[in-house]
Amino acid sequence: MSKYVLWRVLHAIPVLLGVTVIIFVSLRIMPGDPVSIMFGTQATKIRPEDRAKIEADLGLSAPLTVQYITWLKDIGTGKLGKSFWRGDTVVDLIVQRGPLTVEIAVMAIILSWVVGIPVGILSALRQNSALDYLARFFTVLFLAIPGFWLGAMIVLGLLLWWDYAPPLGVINFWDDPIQNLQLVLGPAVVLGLAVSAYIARMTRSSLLEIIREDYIRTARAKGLREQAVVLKHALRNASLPIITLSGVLFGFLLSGTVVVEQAFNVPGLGKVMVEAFVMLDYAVIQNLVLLYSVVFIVINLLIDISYAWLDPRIRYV
Amino acid sequence: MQGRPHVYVLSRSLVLLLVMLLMACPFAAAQTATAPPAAAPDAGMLRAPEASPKRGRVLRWGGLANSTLYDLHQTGTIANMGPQAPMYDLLVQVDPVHWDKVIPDLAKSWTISEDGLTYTFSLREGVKFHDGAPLTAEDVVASFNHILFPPPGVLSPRQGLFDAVKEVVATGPLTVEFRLTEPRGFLLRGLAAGFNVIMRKQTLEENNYDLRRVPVYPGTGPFRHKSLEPGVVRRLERNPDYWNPGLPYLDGIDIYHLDVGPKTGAACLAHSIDYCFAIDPISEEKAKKIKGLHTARIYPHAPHGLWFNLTKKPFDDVRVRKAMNLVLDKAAIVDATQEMFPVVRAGWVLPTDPFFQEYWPKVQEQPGWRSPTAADLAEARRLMQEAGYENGIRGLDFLIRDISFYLTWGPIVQDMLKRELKIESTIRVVASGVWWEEAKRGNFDISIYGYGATIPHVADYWNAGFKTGGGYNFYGYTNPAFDAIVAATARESDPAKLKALINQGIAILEQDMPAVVWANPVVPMAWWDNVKGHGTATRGINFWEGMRDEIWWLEK
Repeated sequence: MSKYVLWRVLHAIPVLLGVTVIIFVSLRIMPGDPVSIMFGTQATKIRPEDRAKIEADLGLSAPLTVQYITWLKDIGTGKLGKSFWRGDTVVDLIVQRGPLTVEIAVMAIILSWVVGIPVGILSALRQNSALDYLARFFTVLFLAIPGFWLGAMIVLGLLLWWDYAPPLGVINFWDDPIQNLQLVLGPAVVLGLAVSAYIARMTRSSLLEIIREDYIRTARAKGLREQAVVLKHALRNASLPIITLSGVLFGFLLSGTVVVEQAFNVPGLGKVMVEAFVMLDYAVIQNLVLLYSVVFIVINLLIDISYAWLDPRIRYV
Repeated sequence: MQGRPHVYVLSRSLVLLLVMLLMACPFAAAQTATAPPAAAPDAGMLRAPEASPKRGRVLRWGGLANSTLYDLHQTGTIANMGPQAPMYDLLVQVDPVHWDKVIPDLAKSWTISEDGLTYTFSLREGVKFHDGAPLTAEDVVASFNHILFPPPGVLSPRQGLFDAVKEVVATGPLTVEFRLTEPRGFLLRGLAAGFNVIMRKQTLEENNYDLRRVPVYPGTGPFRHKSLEPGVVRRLERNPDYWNPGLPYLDGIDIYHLDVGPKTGAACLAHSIDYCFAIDPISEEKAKKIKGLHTARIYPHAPHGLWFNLTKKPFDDVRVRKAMNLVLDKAAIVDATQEMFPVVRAGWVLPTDPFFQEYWPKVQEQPGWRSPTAADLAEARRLMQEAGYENGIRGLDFLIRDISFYLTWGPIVQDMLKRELKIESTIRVVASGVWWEEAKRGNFDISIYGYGATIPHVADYWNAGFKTGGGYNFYGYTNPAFDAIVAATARESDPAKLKALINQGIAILEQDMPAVVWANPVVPMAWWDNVKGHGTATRGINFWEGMRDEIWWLEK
């Protein structure tokens, strides 16, 4: 097992290097001029000699290979560099704003299980019933509604009918749980509902396949209660694809917060990412995209490891 | 509103006219104030306008405050003023209650030589920076050298405002002299612009005169830095050693960095913030109906309109430019964004300029400024024919920044030009960073554009936008006669002579039509009943000043 984990971690290194190249190159070929953005309408006043100095200060005048190696060095030292503009360190940004984003993603995934798995089970066990059709209708509905739209509607509804808006600022759970929940609940619900639709569909299809297996028939034949048959035998075996999907969706949830945080004005990493893109803050963008890539890789590793726990037949060599 | 545009525009014009009339007299007084010797001794020792202001509490300020850099001398955006201005003082300031007056600040008094070439400022004794260092004349000199003579790589957007200042010299421990090459009627007003804060010489030297990435540097202002979460909130706390005893009244200010418009509006309506800067017009309307919430509008100095690339055909031909100006219905264009981004009509003179109240009634019904009549359209077609474009023009590159109200204006302008003059263009929407790059390289035919000026004086905004080589003159306009007039307006302090110069300048601009200016933005804001003591910030015409907040207080 430890050999397998080590092998997977080693595998991740070239993947991450590839990711860094893609991020770095895409940012450099993206149209736009960071120096102009920095100075806004004053940009037309910048003299060429000033521009040259500013670009040198930002490290933009160095050859691209040097810029890339400098970034790799920053990653290696764990500093991740500084925001182009204001000099905030990217590590500080992640430490300060990351907890909110992670909290939203975790709450959303939990919500998706709480809603999606029971709906999927009911839908599978009552296949083609009115309940099944209703469940499938809402599943498709939540898949179709864009998160940013639903978020905007919730924000508007709360404001117009109850004069309510979520609190402002970064409020962590350990500082003020009530305020924190007000801040993260909206985005978590919007993302959770969308993800629960995927989970419900996967649970339904997976269970439909499993409950037709021989061993389920055997379990029923030997007189086990239906609850035990479904929860202990069928659901456990049906959970592998659900776990896989949850892992992948967790990664997508992290990136999904980019849009929803904007809608709810939650100052998480997603909002940082949007602002960094608007301001062409290369240092922040490239490190955050890399962070998200690392999260995806780690999640996939954890999913693979969890398989062995869920299915004793799986062994790693 | 859309059903009654003319009534709406008319009522806006009347309100604007009233505002301008109110502004006119005091500004004229300020213009003649070049000669006055010293200001009243205690004019800078501010107090809240209310009888019994209360001490304590923390103000929640919300609005555009997420800046890309921290150096106040290098920036020109309000995003810096809200969170940073309360930490610094100026040499002289605009009176936050009676915004038309320039009053003492760190300079307790000043004298101006008879020839108008030497300004001598006496600084207050006992003023301390937040790090405990005393204020000296050297700090003032270093601060203005930073603005006037920035080292390479340091931008100074207001350098042109002080082009006549040849040197700033410390003539004593607390005495500073500004020596000019020629008189400047607006020098005091320029010094009082909110960005020109006094920094510590040592801070500037330690950072090679570049504070772009220095989030906290000591000032002498009424509030000190407490904490900063970039992009989220900056918290300030009361400076107990402030030189004006008893001030500030507030214990602190939490400045929330919110997006302009609905985000700030939502936080305002929900009372998550007490003072709300730059809300959207829909929130503004709702705020007007909420008990305890007040609204106001302030006017930055920022001409907006259609800019031509004068270095390219067919825009090197003034007849084409004039024809396009004649067919554009500016009232309709301005009206189109009122529920998204409010603006008022503007021309060669901006609504914030004291001369606007005399200028605008004269021109608003003239061809090119009024909504096009049949005669205007016929004249436009005649000009096009004369220029050889009777069959229209095709394939114009219409460059637009991805700003919501520009995106609304673009198709309207495009349609008007196509319908009336058969001028066909392709709108190319680009991000801001791309726009500046394209504009600088001249990669456009026409573009919607707007720029901000520091003071409401033609010498500032004509200089920046229309003078040869001006900071915002990216489109190739040059006319030596006009340049000479702009230079003369800067020297002139006599209102009558200044008016004559402005009229000459207007005549040239009308003749050359280097751009089609149609609007000046308006910034709606709101505040809850408990916020008191605000002056310029809610009643004034400009938002570069009045954001220091030392006389603001909160009712319990």
